[in-house]
Amino acid sequence: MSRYLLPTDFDEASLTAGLGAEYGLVTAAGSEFTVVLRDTFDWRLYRAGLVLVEELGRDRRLVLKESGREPYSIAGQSTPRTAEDLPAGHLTERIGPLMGIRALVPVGAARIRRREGRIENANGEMVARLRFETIEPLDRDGNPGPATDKLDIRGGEATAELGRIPGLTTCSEHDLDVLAAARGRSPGDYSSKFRVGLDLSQPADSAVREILLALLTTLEANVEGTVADIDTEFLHDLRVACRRTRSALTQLKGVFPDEITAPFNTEFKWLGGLTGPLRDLDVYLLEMPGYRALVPAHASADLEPLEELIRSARSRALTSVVRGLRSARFDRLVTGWRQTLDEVVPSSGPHASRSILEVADKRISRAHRRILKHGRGLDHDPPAETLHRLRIDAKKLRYLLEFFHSLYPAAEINARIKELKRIQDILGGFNDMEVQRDRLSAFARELHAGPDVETSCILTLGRLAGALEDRQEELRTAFHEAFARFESEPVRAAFKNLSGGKESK
Amino acid sequence: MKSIAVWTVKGGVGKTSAAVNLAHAAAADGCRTLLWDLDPQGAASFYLRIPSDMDDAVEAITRRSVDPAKLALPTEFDNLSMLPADFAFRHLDLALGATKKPRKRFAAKLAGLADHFDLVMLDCPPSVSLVSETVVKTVDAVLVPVIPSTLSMRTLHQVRAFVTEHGRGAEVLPFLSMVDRRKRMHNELGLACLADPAFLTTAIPAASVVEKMGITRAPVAATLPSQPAARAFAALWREIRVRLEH
Repeated sequence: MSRYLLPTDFDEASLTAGLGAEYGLVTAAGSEFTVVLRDTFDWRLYRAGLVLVEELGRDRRLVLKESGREPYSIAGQSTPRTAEDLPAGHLTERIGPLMGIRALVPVGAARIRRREGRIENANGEMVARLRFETIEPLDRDGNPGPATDKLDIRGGEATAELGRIPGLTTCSEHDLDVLAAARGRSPGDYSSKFRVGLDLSQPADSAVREILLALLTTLEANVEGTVADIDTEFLHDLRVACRRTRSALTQLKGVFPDEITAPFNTEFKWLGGLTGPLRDLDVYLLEMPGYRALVPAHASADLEPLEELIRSARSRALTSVVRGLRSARFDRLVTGWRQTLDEVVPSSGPHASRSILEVADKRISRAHRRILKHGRGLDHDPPAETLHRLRIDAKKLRYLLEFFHSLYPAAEINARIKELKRIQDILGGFNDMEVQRDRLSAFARELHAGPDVETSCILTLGRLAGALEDRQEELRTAFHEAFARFESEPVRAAFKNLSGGKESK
Repeated sequence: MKSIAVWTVKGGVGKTSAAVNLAHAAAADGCRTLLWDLDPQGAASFYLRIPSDMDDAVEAITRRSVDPAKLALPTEFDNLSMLPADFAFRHLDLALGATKKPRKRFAAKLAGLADHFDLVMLDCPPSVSLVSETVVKTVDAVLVPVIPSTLSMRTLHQVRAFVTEHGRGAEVLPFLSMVDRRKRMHNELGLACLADPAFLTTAIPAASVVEKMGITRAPVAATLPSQPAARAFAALWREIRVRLEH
């Protein structure tokens, strides 16, 4: 398919003029309706080259546009939000896996006047399929922007010749850029991956300010979706941005004066505490299908009271998060923090004017040494507290590698992140099991104290706790092997090589 | 991807109108559908206003280097593409016979379409030929239109025998076509047919709207969606879909 922008004075007769007298243009009656373009907040469809359009005409349709393919169209009863809501068949298969746990949100909207048509030869055969569209982008309040006229030409022997008609300009197949812009967005403008482009010689304070501003922007971008409870990733990304900010403030001490950052650090800690319980409950609900798989099929129903309990706890936790994010305290935190970063006096901290590369090298090498020190010499059965401490150490190094990603050769730093991630996944899993087991006992106590709970339900929770413990033991063993690799000579040397720092003994 | 051949050895029983209307119904139901017109008469292509003079129409079947997915043309209907017939198909048997392993070649052609389509509907020539034999050996199901008449039912036996002998597990799905409820014989023989559990239960009525497809050059549901014939094709498609899923 090719899409063209039509000049305002376009004469439809010019479509057949070049073809010969035996060709004719046939058009059907027009229709007018609203379309909404949908994607996940982090543009998972767009990144895969897909655009999903919901047409709210007389019959609702979902249309999937993919470059180089015929558009796919299916009648739909209601707007899909999650992957489970997608109609069975091609849409579920094509975009379900891309969406994962993310929900669809509107990323563009327009009012469309459409007329279908075709060019026929003398035998009444279609030599090109046409679609005329007048598109008015709609902003978030539904106000229309300037209209443009477009023409789709596809299929048939006349396609190439029609494309050469003077006045036709090729344009994007889906108008995503324009329609997103009308809503204040642009395709790919958000990713949960942290990336900031820094200069090697940039002074530390300006680089750290850039990092902190990027984190603040991410944090703020996720507030609306968290409050509206669109999907669990908004809160997750918000919390990660908050944690990364705190990690940057403590690990990059001395770049900014302590007396300026300390009060904010306290407030970010408050934000972490405010949102923690909701995240824990989200994780629980996301894990529920996995838990079902851990208990025998006949006991699956026993988990229902647990799920109900979690859901009601979650709805209370959400209320308090929403209240917190709408509070004056939160508003003071984000506006105050942005103002501080905008206004902070240059070179006011002791390390402010050092080059960011120097600071990055030092911090990365120190964080790496710390992990080796805390993880060294552990036997096959390391205590949970040690693994907990190591998990924090590893996370700190991970954040540094991400903050300073642009300062190092991509292949190298990615390889180091991959090595680190291997032990992080194990430590993270171990910690999750620990937290979930604790919560499970608390839930069991709560259920036990309540009325009308079957004994079998409590027994199933016990069984589940046992399964989690088994899994935790497996991870404990796996950690031993993974850490041996992490502290092996080649990996140590590679880290040393990256940061140019001194190697841990 | 599923593949269905619409085939019978008797002409004039509503084969091509079934292929076109069912392909349209499947597309409207959300299946990315390709209607492949293998009948040299090119009636399916005619109904959908697709010129039946495609270069490489024969090569799309016989030659390894020609990719049928790239030749498929969009129709006027969402999710429905078409590979039109060509007058050269009158020699298709010879061309196919000249390839080394016709069935294997054709199976590879079908497999190559799976990335683009959920359903391929093949309108086969109404004869016993190498083309029909090759198709029947390759597809998942063979859809057979049956008019409630003695001759047409006799044809069904021939088709069944042929598919049993040559097919590789293709399911034979007969359905009642061009049923005229005013005719006593249609009603009686129709009932007898439906006693056969293989028969799809939806009957396609003899209707002037189907005959008029030659004038409207569009599937019935595209011009007159509330007509009984349009609804019957949609119902028949839903039945086929269920049978294919099992």
